[in-house]
Amino acid sequence: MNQPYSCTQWGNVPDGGAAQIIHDTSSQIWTFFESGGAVPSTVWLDHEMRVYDMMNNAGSWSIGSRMDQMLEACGSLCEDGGCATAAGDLNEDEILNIQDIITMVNQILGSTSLEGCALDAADMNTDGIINIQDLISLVNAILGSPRSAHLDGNATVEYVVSGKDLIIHVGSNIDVAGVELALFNHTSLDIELKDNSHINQESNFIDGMTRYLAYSIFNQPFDSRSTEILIKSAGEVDIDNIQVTVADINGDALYLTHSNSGQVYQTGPYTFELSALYPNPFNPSTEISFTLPMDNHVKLSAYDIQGHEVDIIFEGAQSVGKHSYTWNASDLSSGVYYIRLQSGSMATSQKAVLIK
Amino acid sequence: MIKHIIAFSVVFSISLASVYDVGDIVSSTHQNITKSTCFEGNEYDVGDSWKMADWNGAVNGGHYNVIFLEMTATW
Repeated sequence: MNQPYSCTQWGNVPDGGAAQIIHDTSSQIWTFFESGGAVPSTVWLDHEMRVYDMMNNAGSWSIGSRMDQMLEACGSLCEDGGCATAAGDLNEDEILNIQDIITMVNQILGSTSLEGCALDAADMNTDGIINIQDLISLVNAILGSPRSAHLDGNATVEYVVSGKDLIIHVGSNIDVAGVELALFNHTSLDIELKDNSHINQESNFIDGMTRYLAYSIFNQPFDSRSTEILIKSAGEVDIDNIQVTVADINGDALYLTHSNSGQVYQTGPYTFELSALYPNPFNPSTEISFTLPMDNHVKLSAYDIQGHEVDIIFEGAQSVGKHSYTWNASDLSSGVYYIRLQSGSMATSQKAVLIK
Repeated sequence: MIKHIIAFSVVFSISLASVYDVGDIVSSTHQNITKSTCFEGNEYDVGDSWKMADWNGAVNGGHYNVIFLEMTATW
């Protein structure tokens, strides 16, 4: 008696909260969960729309405790802004592929601006920053490459002025799989990674910043642990306006130590020199480093003791500075070989001993 | 952490056998049965259509919730 029969004659939920009063015409929803005809009857549904519990005359403690249990089971999905988008699925098509890599590259370079769950999905390592580390993690996820043990790498980043240009030299104690640069400058800068023909390079200039990425779509490491990046017409850029991130094959950042030698090595320290091979003797590969005092055509080749050329390690145009290559002699038999470097009219050689 | 709670008042006059037990997942069909809201709130206006699927993160764009329905009556 005297009970209201239209839904608006019910009082609204005190203080609003997150509650909603609805009118269950035909008692449809009631019949789904009805429990003995008693009222009030309460049913809890978890984040998968699974019936978690049902109860008559549930008190606030019963309601609250079950909600807490369901929230705990739901985890991050039910957090504010929680997204169901899988990590790396930037285009939210439920497939991790090259499209996601392209989207992430564009995001890092500032060409696109992701929002919402797509932005969350891009932050593979959940550090709040979308960068080369996330890109490498995404490549690994697509390739199905398991993460190796934490490598805990470090590197020295040296800035050397060469005429109008700036050369960034990165020397690391572990393999490098990616480099990201951000340079604050009024104009777009041309950036070029030396050697490493298998490494993808992308850059973009936007809002007074040149962003640059060097990475492998197959997550192959750089040629050597000594990497040089030439930034043309950046000789006067303050190194405080340059941000460098170097990542390993796991997508972990290397700890960086920066130094600014201020050397001008177009006329400075680089001479024509072929460094001692390491290791030597070797099996089956060894690292070959050399320096050039100027840009020139270079041929780096291997000869056997009879003077026959058995391998061309590198041939082509090469720029001033230090370069490193790995020579894999797995197809050759044990013995003594000579590594010959020729640049223009200059030539030098080193003995290499292959022991299998 | 969000905790969307629905105090759910049902105006009914008959009682029928239940469909779901603990552990059952509410079917998509039942999730999409629409009801009319009595008051504004939770981005609904008075008279807007309400359905359980609105709170299902798998179909609402990834906004997951846990909810409880409190059913009461006039008869």
